[in-house]
Amino acid sequence: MLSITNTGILSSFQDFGRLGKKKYGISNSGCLDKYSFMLSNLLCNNKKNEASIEIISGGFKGIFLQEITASVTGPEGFFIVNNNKKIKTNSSINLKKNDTLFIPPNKNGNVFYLSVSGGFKLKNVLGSYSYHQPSDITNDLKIISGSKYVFKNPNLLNEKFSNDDFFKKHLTNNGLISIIYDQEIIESSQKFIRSFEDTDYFTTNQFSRQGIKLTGEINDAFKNQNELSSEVSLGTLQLPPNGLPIILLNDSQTTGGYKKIGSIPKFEISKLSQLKPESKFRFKGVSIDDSNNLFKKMINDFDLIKLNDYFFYNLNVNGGLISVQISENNSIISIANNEVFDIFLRNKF
Amino acid sequence: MQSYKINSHGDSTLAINFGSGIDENTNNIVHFYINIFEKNIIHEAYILDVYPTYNSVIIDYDFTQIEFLKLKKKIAKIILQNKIKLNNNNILEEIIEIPVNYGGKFGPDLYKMSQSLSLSEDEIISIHSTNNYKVFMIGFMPGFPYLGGLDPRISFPRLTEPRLSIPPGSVGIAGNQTGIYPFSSPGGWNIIGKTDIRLFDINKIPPNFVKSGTYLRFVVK
Repeated sequence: MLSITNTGILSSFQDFGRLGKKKYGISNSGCLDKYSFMLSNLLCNNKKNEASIEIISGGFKGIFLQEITASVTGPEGFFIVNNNKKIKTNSSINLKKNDTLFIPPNKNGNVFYLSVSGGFKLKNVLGSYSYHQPSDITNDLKIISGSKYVFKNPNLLNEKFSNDDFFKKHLTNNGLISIIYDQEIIESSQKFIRSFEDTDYFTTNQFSRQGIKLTGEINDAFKNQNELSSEVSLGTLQLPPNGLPIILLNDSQTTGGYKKIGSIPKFEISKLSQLKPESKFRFKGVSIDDSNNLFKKMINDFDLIKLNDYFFYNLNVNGGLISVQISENNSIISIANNEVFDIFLRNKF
Repeated sequence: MQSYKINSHGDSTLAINFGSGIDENTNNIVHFYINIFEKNIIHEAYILDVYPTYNSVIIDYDFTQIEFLKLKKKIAKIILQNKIKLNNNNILEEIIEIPVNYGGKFGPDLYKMSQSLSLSEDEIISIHSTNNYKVFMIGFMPGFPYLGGLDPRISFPRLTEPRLSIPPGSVGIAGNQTGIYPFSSPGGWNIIGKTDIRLFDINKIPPNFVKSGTYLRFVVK
């Protein structure tokens, strides 16, 4: 069992989501960053789609009430076990009974995944274990502080880490977000597309599993609009009358009434959801074919990720504690001393 | 031959558009083809979902299994093979009754509407519970039906400031639309009554009490 002490802004169970339920008015849900989600399961030797805990913006703390291998993935940084082990994200670790695991907030991204080997024992809701924020149909899949969650089939495995630069390469802001424009926009509004692509946009702190609000120069091309409610999905980019775009994410409503410009392709969603507030970028139109090829390339790169064993030492140096995570070829993955742990002990999240 | 346009939305959604605006005939065509697709293509592994909007059939697909242009061709072929037949057999086949407690604590905005529209509360109730309302689509939140067919005599503008919480089952009017809130939610609709029917029940298959394409009627409880 895992007993939850702190959940941060929102922690919830997620898998690939609840597909095929839009006819009931239920959006897909599912993990925001599919790649970090899959890596957490890979590190725990789980199937790709095993439900994991998604943690938005860190600040998560839990106590393991029995031994198990767990993994934490997401933006480059670290997590802390028992106030004396500093472990790099994208590592798995063997936890003993009563071990505490803490995931601090991180300046490199928003979304973390915590998987356990063998998975959690959960109740399936309409074919998925994903929490759906806009309804009350999946309330048991939202992580609640003080609650305990049962392991399905706990295993102990070799402790591993991923040294791959996948996150840096694919999930870090490179100043561009691709968009597939709707046909109507391509046919009628080339001038709009030029001004849209010449605008610097910034993510804001208005980020949730339902969507991201952007800021930047106001685009008044669709200031007067009277749109009929129609289908919206993960990635739909809307331009409301205020001229500032909204990108819908996994837990959006299934219908919306703002002007639709296009959609952010699937391969960009993980990166987008990891962008910290005030990240600057421009939009760049892509074709469906290009977007599909970029998606395939990303999946290929993910499949090439290798996991390596690591060793962990707590050294007592001149009366002080030093925690060291070392790779098989003796390079240091993560190192910390008392001061680092003290900072986290003092700060309450 | 029914005219239509097939467009993509992003990398995994295809929309077959049969018209513009809110129009019962167009929506009947949409549901005619929803029924066709539910009989064949929906079982293909590359199809993830088929659902209606006011004037389009939306198909979510897995682009790793089928390209947009290939799917577009398949859809065009199915439409060509299934010429539209709209007759009494596939329209008005089902009318679902929704019992409603109107007014008072169940419908806090009914009195205000009656003052402003110069109709008695009973007249508003009678008008609201006379028509059959087409369920054009389900969306916004799980089980929420977008209804057409509100009598213009009782159309009424949204609240200027939305309420923070509207209880589930509330029946409301906003502009020329009427609807029912399946879940407790913030909202700006004028609430005229409340039903005990659960519009969305996760333990039922399907979980929706009303299906798009059917009709519903409000009955005074």
